[in-house]
Amino acid sequence: MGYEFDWTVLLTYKQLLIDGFVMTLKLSIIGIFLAFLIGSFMGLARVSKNFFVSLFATYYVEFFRNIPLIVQMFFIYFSFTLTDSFPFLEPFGDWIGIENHNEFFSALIALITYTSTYIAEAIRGGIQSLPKGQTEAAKTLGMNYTQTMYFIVFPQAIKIVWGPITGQFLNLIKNSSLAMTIGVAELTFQTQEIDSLTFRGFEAATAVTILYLFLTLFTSYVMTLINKYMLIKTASKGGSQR
Amino acid sequence: MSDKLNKYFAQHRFLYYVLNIALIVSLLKLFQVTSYPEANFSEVLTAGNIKFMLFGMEDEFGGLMLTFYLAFVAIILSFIFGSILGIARWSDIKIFKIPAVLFIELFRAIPHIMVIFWVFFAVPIFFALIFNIKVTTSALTSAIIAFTLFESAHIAEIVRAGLNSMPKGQFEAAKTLGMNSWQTFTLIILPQAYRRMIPPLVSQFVSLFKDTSLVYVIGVVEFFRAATIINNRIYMSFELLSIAAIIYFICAFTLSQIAGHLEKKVEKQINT
Repeated sequence: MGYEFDWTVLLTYKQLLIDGFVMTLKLSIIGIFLAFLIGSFMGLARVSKNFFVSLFATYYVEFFRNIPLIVQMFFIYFSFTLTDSFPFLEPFGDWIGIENHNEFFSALIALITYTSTYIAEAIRGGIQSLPKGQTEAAKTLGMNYTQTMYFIVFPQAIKIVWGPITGQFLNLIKNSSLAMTIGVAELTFQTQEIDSLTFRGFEAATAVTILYLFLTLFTSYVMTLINKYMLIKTASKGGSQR
Repeated sequence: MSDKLNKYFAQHRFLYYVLNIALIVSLLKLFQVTSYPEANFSEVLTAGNIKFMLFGMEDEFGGLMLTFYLAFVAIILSFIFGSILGIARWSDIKIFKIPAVLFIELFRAIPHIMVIFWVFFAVPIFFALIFNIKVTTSALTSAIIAFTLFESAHIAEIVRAGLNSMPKGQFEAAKTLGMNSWQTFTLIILPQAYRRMIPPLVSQFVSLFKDTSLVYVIGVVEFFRAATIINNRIYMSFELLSIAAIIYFICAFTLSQIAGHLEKKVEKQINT
């Protein structure tokens, strides 16, 4: 009985793996960038003094956080034709070099909405954990609300919650594998492809697991470097410790 | 205005919960009326379809009940296994610590869907290779194994954090009372640490509940797959998927409200 390993399939189908890796990278990089942007805005909006702004942010977070990612992806993909509703997605998709625009952008939007809620929660936690003296001191210096948030509160809050935000970025990279269910040809999809071509799912899964490990470890390393850089910058400016 | 409302709702949590769900459902209805007016819910919500989504086929177990069953079994198994792993990683004994670290770091670094595929592909091959026997696992068994492996790695980290957060005075006080290390651990440290872990554990269980929709990929007919099966037949994706979204929202929102409630309770207990 037994099972004979045949690692040469990986060499034969290496182009599939490379394409999948590039697709995962595209999803992850655009997703991380936009999720961080939207998450930051929603996190700031949740602590806003304006009742309706904070209400909107609360419902945004509660709504998208409590629906599974795969349901969101399917909902967007099967109920709308994104390239019809938003024509500018077509040239943008061509520019970043993807073929199936609808699948890619459905997966991307679902990833962004899902992850941005977690980032918003993390940033809200960071802002609320800052001592009140910071905003009061900024007020004394004559700063308005926007200046206080931009120069004083947000830079400090982000340093406190850098760890959880890194975790959410890693989650986004890992969750991008769900895009295979609607047919985006990323890494996990290519595992299935190689398995159906050669019936060598074990070898393909091993290779893809190693690629994911590499990707997550590399990302967390980069995030640690950014954190260090931020701390050095604060210290060289003579900024006080939090 | 918002302060008054917050105070009022802090006392009437259940009212807040019901109002929230009503508001979300009506917002979705508004969205549907404005962007997709031709939706026809009465055609989807026939008795047969509802029964299929809740209980699955006549002769087999499926639908929303299977989602709950899967979540329940996975929660219990991953809680037991995760606690053992977490304690092993927290301990200073190298033969327990190193395998636990490797296991946890591996399963935290790969996507959940990959773990499900791994178990589905690799378990039969693994048994064929090592024990030289042919094992066939059903999709449901593979799903439960995959959930246990993946979630226990995450729960182990929560358990370790909870154990690390115990103040040193607790160990010293137990030593003063003449307890040995086993007694200290089981009678003093663990019960207190678990109380601190309740809020993060419950939110991990919420995410486990949401993740049960992933077993769609290996063909377990749980709630989400049941919805997509009906969709393949009648092709009314907007209606079916929005119903699925609402049901998942209600379940997960209920659990996360309970988590918030428990968090406040635990904070009170620790502070007093």
